[in-house]
Amino acid sequence: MNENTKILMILLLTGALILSPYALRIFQGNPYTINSEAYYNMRVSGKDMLQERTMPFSILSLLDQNNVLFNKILPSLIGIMCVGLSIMIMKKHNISEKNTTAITLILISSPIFLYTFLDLKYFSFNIILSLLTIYLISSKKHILSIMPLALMPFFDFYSSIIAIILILLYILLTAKNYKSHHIIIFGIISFIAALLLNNYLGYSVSRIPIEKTRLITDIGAEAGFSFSSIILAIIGMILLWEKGLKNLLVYTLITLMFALSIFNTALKAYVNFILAVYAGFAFVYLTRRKWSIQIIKKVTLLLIICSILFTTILYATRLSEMKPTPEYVDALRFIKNQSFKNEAILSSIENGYMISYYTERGVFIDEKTNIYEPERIFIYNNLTTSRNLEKTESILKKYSIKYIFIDKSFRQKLEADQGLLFIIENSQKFKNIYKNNDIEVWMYID
Amino acid sequence: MGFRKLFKSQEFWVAIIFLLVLSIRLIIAFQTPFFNYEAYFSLRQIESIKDTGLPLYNDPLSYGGKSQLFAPLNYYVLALFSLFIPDDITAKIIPNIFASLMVILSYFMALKITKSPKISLLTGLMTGFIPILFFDINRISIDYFSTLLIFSIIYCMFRINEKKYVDYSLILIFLLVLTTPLALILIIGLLFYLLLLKLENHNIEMKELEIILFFAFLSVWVNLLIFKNAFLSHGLLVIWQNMPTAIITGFFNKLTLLETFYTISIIPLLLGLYGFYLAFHEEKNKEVMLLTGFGISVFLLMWFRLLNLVTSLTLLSITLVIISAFALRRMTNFVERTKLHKYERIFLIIFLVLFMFTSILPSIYLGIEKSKNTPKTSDIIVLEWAEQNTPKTATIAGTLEEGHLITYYSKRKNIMDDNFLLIHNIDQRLNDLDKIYTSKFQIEAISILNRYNTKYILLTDHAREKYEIRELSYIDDNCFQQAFYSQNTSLYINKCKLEND
Repeated sequence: MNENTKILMILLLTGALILSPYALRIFQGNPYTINSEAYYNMRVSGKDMLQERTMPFSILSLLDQNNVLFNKILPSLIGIMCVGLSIMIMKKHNISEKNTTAITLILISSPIFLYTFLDLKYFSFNIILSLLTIYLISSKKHILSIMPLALMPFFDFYSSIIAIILILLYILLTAKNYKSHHIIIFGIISFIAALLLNNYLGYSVSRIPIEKTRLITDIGAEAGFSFSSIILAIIGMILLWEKGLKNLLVYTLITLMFALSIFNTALKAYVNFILAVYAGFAFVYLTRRKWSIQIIKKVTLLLIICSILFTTILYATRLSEMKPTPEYVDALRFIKNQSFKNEAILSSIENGYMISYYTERGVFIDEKTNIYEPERIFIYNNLTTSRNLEKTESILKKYSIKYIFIDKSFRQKLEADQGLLFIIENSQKFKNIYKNNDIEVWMYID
Repeated sequence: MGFRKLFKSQEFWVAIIFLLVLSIRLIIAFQTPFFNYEAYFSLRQIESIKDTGLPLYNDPLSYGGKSQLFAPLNYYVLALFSLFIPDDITAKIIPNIFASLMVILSYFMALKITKSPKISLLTGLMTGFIPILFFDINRISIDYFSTLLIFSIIYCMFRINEKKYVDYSLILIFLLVLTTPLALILIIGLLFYLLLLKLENHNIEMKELEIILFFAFLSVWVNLLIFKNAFLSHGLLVIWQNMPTAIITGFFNKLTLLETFYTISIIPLLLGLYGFYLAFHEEKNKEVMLLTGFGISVFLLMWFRLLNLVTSLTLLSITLVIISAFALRRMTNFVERTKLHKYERIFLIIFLVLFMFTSILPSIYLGIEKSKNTPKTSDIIVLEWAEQNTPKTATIAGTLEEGHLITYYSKRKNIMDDNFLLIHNIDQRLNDLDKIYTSKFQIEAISILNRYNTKYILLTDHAREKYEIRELSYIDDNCFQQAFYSQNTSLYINKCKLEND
């Protein structure tokens, strides 16, 4: 197979893998977008009127994102382009064809890659812009590289910080002259401009988006790394170890970023590209080196391939089964028809984006609450654990909460907390107005 | 072969020690016809494999019906033997044979390290009477088979340069991975071993590296396959098996520091530590380094409470005993070079007397004490009555420890047992179970019984002792009726239902 055909095959495979969760979903009779930040992005442009929040400026929020093209096709295309750019960058760095193929295959089969390009996430635009910048720098088109670099803070303000740091690192490690060092100044200038713009628009940049996520998909992370690629990356790092301060700095930074990625999904997506490089090198090394026991070589390589495939298939299946199901959407549309515009809905944190998208009503809590109104998390915990009806009613009234949307996972939380569920089921102040296999909707009667 | 030659053969004495250890273990095990409470889960698995060819992965009785997650090989091995011997006899004999086989294995490991048959024989004897190995005589413990496999792999790694041992190690690795997640501890141990080799400027053999790599990928993958749902449900908390917080502390703190010394036994502990010191400071020994790497891994996992104490101490004590062979060789070499060698026999007698008081007697005492923790005949009579006289879909409330006993004898659902994986709100469930026995209020108890769709409560002496009660406080004739009793064991039936429930 010639090189171009191989690249084309890889790009097609990338597209197929990214779209596979949706394809599976459609086969299961569920055409709805998977519950994620995409719901928030589709609903909000510039200012979140429902939750009364000012969002950081993004060029993307000026566009209408609530369509299939923007929400499903464009992210997949970006994913494919990212892979294409990665291959081109590796070619520029004289990485062998075998290594490039291994790195690319490990990259596209990683769960965090699928998650990133599954639907509309602002940081995915910065990933492609970062790769483009790196490609242009490696092609010595320094002036051109300024453009994508300068655009990044205007696509996604926070992930541009990660991107600028990584590009700076790349320049420091690879550049032979000072020409490329100056590029980074434009990145910083552009970042400051975005900062001032956000300030002008009334957004406080001190609201740093810190999440608390799991790192490894095999042990339950919604978006994370796979065990096998981590082990391979560690082997790769050991193999590519060279003595010297530069190497030590790079490895320390990678380890630090890996550890910090527990707090930020965008960082995870960037770290994934780096890990894939090391993992790919390790895989090729393991296939090429002379093993003293041939049977172990064959079985070990088979195990590596199987475990990578296992993680990818399992993750794609998991994504395809994620909320919302048609039952969810039916319940949410029921609330939309039933409720007034000023009435809010209480549910679990992870249901927030989806509920506000389908009902067009405010939710008491969602995944951005910890950034904008962290005090609500405390109130939320009080609410779910308290058996004091008076206290509960006062909170419900204060925040205009009229409906409680309970799915299986929220029920489990409520059962564990042993507060709100007891009040709902035993006081006369709540009425069950909707029930199907997965969902219950309770209305608070004033 | 004449008797004189036979008596001089080291293998003969190893076999004698093995038989002695096995006999003592079996005598203790057969003191009661029953098993420790946890063992009834294994018995159900053996029965299921015999009946259907598969373990009970979809258990219709545990927690009212749940999926069970475990590596199945140990149960298959037991089921295989139970084709020829009755289940309960198999369950008494086979795990104890596995435990006793450690005598032979440690003999060969010590022989490889010291090249001295006499010291190896002593090591075999010390292994046979490690008190902690007598902890689970009646529990059908999976740990004995796992421990045997782990140390067999380590022995194969000692002799990795011989081709047949490479094959053996691969087979044993497969078996271990299909037996227990403890395989991961050995992998960590092997990584520590590589680190120690690097630090001591030893050459790392490519074969070792390849086997470790293969072992790591196999183990990670098989465990992900087996515990996939548990990982997705509990994340890394799977390590603690989703244990309720109320019992997690007790799980890791069953023994005090003094008891820990006592269960490992003071002689192997001191000699093992001395052997460890020697191997690193005076005479670099690769085999001891491998054992040390494994010991470090077990110790760290125990320290960070990632591994339960009994399993940790079992693995750690065997490791120390084998390392102590290295120290013993050094000491005998020293004695042989001095005038003290005339008193060699006296030293041996003193050693054996000390060993008897610090290892053999504590082992037997511990074995007998732990074997007493079994259900009473009356408990079994009541549960067998329940099998005949309660609806097939009934749930019987019993203490946490009695969960498997209920499912095994009465073939009825329990509220809870010690397989906590995949159960949500486990703390609340345990709390509710405790309240069934300790509540003063009938409404509260009935509400909990209704929540778990339970009509029957089993009250045994074990429950009385655990909850420090004589009777259930809320029992009266209006709502509860004693359905059946035998001596102190009663089965109550609840006739009331709360409207809201």
